[in-house]
Amino acid sequence: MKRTWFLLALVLTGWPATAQTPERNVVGRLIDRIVANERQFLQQMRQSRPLFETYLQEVEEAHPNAPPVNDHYLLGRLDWSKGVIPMEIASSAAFQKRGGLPLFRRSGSALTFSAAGFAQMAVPDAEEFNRETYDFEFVRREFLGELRCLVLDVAPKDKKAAGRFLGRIWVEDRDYHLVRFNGTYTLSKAAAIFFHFDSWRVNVAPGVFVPAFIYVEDLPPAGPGGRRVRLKGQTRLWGYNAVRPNKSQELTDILIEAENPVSDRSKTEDASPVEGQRSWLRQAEENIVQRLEKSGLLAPAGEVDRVLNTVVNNLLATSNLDLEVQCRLLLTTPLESFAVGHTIVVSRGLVDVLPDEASLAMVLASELAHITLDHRTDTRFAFSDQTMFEEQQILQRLRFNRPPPEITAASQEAVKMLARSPYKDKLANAGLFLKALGSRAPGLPNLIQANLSHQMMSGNELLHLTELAAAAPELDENKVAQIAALPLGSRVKLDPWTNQTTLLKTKPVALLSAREKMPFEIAPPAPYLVRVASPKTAATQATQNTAAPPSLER
Amino acid sequence: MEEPLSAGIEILDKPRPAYSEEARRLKIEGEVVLQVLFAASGEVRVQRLIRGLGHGLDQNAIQAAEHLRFRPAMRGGWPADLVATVQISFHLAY
Repeated sequence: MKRTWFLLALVLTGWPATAQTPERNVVGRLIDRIVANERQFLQQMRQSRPLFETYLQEVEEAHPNAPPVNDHYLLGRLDWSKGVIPMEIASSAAFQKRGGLPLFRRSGSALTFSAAGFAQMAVPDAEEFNRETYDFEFVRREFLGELRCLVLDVAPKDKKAAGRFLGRIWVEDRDYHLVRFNGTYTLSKAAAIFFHFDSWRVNVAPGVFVPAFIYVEDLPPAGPGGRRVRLKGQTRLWGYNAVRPNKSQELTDILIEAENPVSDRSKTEDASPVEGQRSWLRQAEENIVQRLEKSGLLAPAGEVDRVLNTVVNNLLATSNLDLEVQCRLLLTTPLESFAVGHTIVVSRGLVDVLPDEASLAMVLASELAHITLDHRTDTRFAFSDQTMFEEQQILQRLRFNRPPPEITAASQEAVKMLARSPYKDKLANAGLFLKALGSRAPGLPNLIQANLSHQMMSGNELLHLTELAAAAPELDENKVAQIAALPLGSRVKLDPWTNQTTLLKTKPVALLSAREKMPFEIAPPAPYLVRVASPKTAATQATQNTAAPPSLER
Repeated sequence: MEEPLSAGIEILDKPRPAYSEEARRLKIEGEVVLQVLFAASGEVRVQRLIRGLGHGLDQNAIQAAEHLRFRPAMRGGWPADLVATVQISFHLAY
């Protein structure tokens, strides 16, 4: 009731009020609460070191409907304890290792980006976000998902100040935490500009909101020759509170006691050389998987893995193979898949863009074939020290490239496996996906550049599964009904706190034009924000919900 | 008076009892104790649960016991029934 009165007061008084009224005092206290929460947020963030990944695509301004012509990639970790300092794990050439704002510079014809600048967009102003520096103006109330928010316009008081936030903020109206801000930093210059951005935070624990997704879009000034490109980009943050992987081992046994002696001939504790070799390979596999999970690059086992495991089981069953294989999700965007021992790893970006289950089966079959053909993982990883290294080295130390003969053999085996599988009549779309990849690859070198394994493409040449691509129908990007690949972010939803992944629950949307297909492209986010329930409420809700089994079919 | 057994049972193969998801999550450890009839016919019949752990482990223990393979006890040159106590232990390293 009190809140309703207050909001009404805001609207009626045409905030900001000019006189020192009781309403103005209430408004002031509200702003102070937002500012205090933001200060507390920064304190909390200083304890965390999330992973962050920025991916940018360039589209020729003269051809806005044409596919991207270039892209850029950065993977790092933020160290908030020293401000917003990114620690780089991998990046394309355009990202500068040092420097903060501005986000972007033009040096001759080359574009360069500042890693710290992109990280900075997780906060509107890390130092002076307060009433002394900014004017706040109430706009309206609005729902973002389930969160009812106050929407405020924010502008720096000093119009000549550079690098201050200018834009709109959304503040949830229960505890007044910032959940979204959208705008830019002030006084951009032609040679060094700030991008426009839309930054989202999600509620991960009662009273805790963390940056999760930042979308950028801008049109930097033309370079020499007048060529102008529009930039679209996404930054994703995760791994705030990922629990250290701790796989428990089990020991179970049966003991039989009777009045008469029981002779037990079943005991075989000693391992044969074959079992010893298998155990050694498993040790290498476990060490690699645990290292990737510890770094936050690999999601903990979860719902998405179960979908992938179901497809693998279908392939195994129809090929009469009795193998234990598990699938895991790599949380990064570049399109890649690889097998480590009996674990198949698929990147989030690849799962996102696959159009259907048959295409997923194609990707999984090509890795499963490496397992069935006994293409082994390097057993040096069975030594524990081989996975003990600094995080920045992870992509150099853990490489899972396959020699070309192994890729060729696995590709042929995968085609045979798919021909026996339940997906055998649906492989045309899988082949179309490969054709679409081939068509878009020249403009997306960093999306194709695998972080940990071999690439799917070299230029526009497909490196495996060429038979499937050759058998596919003609690719027609102008045909609305032909969906060969989806936009990035189409499938997987990530909890940035725990790294748990689930499948997005979206309604099928009828496309109005071929342009809306956006294969392999970045799309603005529209997250459905929810408030994390207290454990007691969550338990009540869990008993009321009956979850349908997840599936990749739309 | 019944003739004593000339030979006890001989266990040929023991399955590996499985942990349940719930017990793994709750880190339940201990022993499930069953009274089991090792029949002359070669069948295993679980007669009763003497001590249980719950959380799905009792069912898994019974299932494991039922898949024991054995050679029956002998009495006077013929296979004979034998009642025994079967202890299934569950332990975790985490």
